[in-house]
Amino acid sequence: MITEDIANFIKYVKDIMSEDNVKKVEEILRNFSEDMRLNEDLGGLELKFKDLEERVSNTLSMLRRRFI
Amino acid sequence: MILKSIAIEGFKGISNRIELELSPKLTVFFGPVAYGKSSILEAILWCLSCNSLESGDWRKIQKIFEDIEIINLRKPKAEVKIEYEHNGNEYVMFAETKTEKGYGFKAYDSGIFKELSVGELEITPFVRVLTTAQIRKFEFSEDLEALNVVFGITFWKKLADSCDKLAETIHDKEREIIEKVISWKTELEKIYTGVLKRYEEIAEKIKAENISLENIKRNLKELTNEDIDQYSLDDLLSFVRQMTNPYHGKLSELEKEIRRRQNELEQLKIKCNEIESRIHKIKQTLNEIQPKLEELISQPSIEILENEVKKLEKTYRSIVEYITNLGEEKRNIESEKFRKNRELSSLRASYNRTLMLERELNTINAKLREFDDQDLDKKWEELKNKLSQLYEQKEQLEEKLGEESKIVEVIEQAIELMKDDVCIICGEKGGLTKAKERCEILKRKKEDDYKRLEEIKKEIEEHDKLLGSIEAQIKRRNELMNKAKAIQQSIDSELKRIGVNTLNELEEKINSIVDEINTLDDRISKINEEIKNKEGEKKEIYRKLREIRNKIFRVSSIRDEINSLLGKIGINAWNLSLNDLQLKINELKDELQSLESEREILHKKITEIEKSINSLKDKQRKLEIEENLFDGKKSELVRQISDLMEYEEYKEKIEELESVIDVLLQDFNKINQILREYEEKRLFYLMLSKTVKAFMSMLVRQKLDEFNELVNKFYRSLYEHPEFKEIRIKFDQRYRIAVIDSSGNEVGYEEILNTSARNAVRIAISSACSYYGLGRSEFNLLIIDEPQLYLDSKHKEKFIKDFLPLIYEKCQVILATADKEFWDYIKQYKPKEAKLYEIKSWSLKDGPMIEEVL
Repeated sequence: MITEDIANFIKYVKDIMSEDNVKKVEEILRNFSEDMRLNEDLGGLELKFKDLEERVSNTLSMLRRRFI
Repeated sequence: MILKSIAIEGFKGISNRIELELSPKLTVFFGPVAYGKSSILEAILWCLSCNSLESGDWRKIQKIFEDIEIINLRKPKAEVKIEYEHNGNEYVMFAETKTEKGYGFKAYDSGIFKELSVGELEITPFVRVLTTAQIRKFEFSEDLEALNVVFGITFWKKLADSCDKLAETIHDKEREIIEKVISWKTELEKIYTGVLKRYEEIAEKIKAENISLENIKRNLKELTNEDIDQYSLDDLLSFVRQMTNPYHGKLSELEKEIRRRQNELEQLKIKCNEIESRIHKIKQTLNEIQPKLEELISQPSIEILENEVKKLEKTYRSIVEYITNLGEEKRNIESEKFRKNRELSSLRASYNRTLMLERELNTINAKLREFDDQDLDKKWEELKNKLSQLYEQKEQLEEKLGEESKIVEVIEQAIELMKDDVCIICGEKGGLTKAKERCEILKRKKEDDYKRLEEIKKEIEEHDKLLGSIEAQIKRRNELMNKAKAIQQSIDSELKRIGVNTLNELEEKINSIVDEINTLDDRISKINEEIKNKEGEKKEIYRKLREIRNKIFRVSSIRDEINSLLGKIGINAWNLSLNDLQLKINELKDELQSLESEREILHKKITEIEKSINSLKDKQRKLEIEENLFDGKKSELVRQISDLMEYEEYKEKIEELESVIDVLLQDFNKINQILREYEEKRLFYLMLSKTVKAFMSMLVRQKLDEFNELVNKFYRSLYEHPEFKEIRIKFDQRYRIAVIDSSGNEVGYEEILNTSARNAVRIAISSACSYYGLGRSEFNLLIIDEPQLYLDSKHKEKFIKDFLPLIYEKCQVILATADKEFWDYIKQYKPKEAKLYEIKSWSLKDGPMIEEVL
C-alpha cells in the first residue's frame, strides 16, 4: 500500500517539480527513515563554511593584534 | 494472527494462575462488577504492549496504564503468557514485571508478532481495549489522529514534519552565518577606520609643521658638529636621544660649590646662635639673681633663726600640756555635772508625776465624799424588798383574773343554752337571771382587778427604774474607790523607788542636787577662764613661730632660686657660702664680656659668605636658561623624528590592511555563495513539505470516503436513530466527527447525539479501524469492556445480533460485561466457535473463579 502511495506521489510531483528536484525527491523517499538523516545533505556546505569561518576569524585575530 | 489462549498470574485482581482458551471469533467474560473481568482484558493488552516495545520503554507502559497497580497485592510479580497462531504456526509470548512498582518489564516472543505491521500498540487502533474511559477518548482529535495509522499516512506526516524541521534548521543556519558576517564586517570596518584616521591625522600634522628629513638634519647640525648626512630616521632618533647637554657638568660643579658655602654658612650661624643664646642666658640669670642676692644679704642667717624657733617650740609645748590637763579636769567636772543633771531630771519627773497623782487622788476622794451622805446601800435594800412585794401582788392578781375569766366564760356558755329562766345545771328557777347578774358582777370585779394589776405593773416599772439608778450610782462609787486605791499604791511605789517617804522629802532632795550642780558650774567657769588665758599665750607663741619659720623659708627659697638659676647655666652653687657665691657671680660677668666680642667676629664672617653665595646663584640661573634651551631643541627634534617615523609606519600599515581586506572580501563572496546554496536547499524542503501535505490531504480524503462507508455500516448495525442515521469523519488538517441529518445537512456532533448514540459512534469508529486495517495488517483484534453501557434492550440485542457478526467474521473479538440481559442475548446469538466464561466468585486470596459456559 505504502509503495503504491509512493509511486502515486512521484507521479504527482513530476507534474509540479523540475527533473532534478524529482530525482532528489526519489532519493529522499528511498533513503527516508524516521529520523531522516537529511543533515548529510547539508554536511558539505557546513564544512565549506567552517573552513571560511576559521580563515576569517584567524585573519581578524591577526588584524586585532596588529592594528588595535 | 489469532490469539489462542492466555495464562495470567499476579496481575491486578488475578492472584492465582488462570488459563483460558480464546475463540478466534468471539470470547465473552460475564460476571458482577469487580470480579476481575477488566483485569483479564488489561492483562492481554499489557502482554501485547510489552512485546511490542523495547524493555527499556517502561515509561510508555506507565503512560498506557496510567495509575493502574499492575501487580496483585498478594503476589510479588505479575506474569501473562499468550499463545498465538500465525500462518498455521503456533508461537508463545509472555511478559513479567521486573520492578516492585510494576512498570519495568521483561518480555519474550517466540514468533513474529513484533515484526507485524501494527506499529507501537499505544497508538494503534487495530488492537484496543475499549474501556468506558478509553471510548470517551475519541472525543478528542488527538485520539482521532490514530486514523493516520489506519490510513498509512504516518510516513507522509513524518516526511512533511522532517522537511519543515530541516527548512527551519537551514533558516537558523542562514541567520547564524549572516549575523557572523555582519559582525566580522563591522569589526573590519572599525579596524580600518581606526588606522586610516590616525594616518590622516599624522600626515596633516607633518604637512602643517613642514617636517622633513632635511629640515631635521639642518637643525641638528646647528646644535652639534657631528657628521649626520648619511643617517637614517632610526639612526637620527637614537643619536638625538643619546645627545648629552653640555651645560649639565658646569651646573653640577657650581651647585657643589654653592652647597659647600651654604654648609659653611650654616655652621657659622649655628655657632653664632649658640653664643647668642649663652649671652642671653647669662644676662637673664644676672638680672634675676641681683635683687635676690641683695635680699639674702639683708636677712639674718638661717642658723640664728632656727635656734630661736627651738626655744619658742619648747615654751609652746609646755603651754599645750597645761591646757590639756585643764581640759581633762573640766571634762571630769562636766561629766559629774551631767550625771547630777540626769539625776535631777529623773527626780523632777518623779516629783511631777507624784504631784499629779496626788491631785487626782484628792479629786476622787472629794467625789467619794459626796456618796457618803446618800446611804445608797440602805436605799437599794428597801427598794428590793418593795419590788418583791409588788411582784407577789401582781402574781396573785393575775391568778385571780384567770379564774374569774374562766367562770365568766362558763356562765356565758350556760346562758346560751338556757331557754327558760331555769338553771341548766341545778334546775333552779330564775337561774338565767341570776346567772346574768352573777356574770355582770364578775365582769365588773374583773375590770377592777385588771385596773389594780395595771397600777401594780406601773409601780413595778417605776421601782425598777429607781433601783437601776441606785445600782448605777453604787457601781460608779465602787469604781472611784478602786481607782483611788490604785493611785495611792502608785504614789507609794514611786516614793519608795526614789528612797523617800513623802513628797516634801523628795523636794528637799531635789534642792540639794541643784546646789551641787551650781557649785560644779562655778568650777567649770574658772577652768574655762584659765584655759582661755593660756590659749592666748599659746596663740602668740605660735604666731611668732610662724613668722620666724616664714623667714627661714624665704631665705632658703631665695638661696634655692639663686642656685637653680646658676644651675641652668651650668654653675653648681649648692654648697657654696655667701662669699663664694658672690665670687662666682663676678666670674660670670667676665665670661659675658668675652662672649660678646666673639659674636662680633662671627657676624662679620657670615656677611662675607652670604655675599659670595648670591654671586654664585646668579651664575647658576644663567647656566640653567642655557641648559633648558638645549633640552627644548632636543625634545622638539625627537618629536619631529618620531612623527615622521609614525607617518612612514602608518603608510605601510594602510597598504598592508588594504591587501588583507581584498582577501577577506573574496572570502565573504564565497560565504554569500554558500548562503545561496543553503537558501536553495531550504526552498526545496519547504516545497517538498507543502507538496507532501497536499498529497497527504488528497490521500486521506480518498481513504476517508471508503472508511466513512464502513463506519456508517457499523453505526447503523449498532444504533437506530430516527433523524441522524449517518455520521462522517472529516479531514481539514485535523480529523473531526460530523453528523448528517435526514436532509443531508451537517450538524454538530456533541450537541446533537445523546450518550448512547455517541457511545455507538465510538464503537463504530473503533470497529471500522480494526476492520479497515485487515487489508493492511495481519493482526486484527477488537477488545471491548462493557460495550452495552448506555444501550437500551433493543440496542443491546441489535449489538449482538446485527453488529457482532459483521465484525467477528474478519476480526477476533473479546468482550467483558456485567449486564445479565446483554449476556442472555450473547448466549442466544453466539456463533458456534464462541467461548463464553462466567465468573462465579472472586476473593483477594484466590482471585476469580471462572467457569466456561457450554
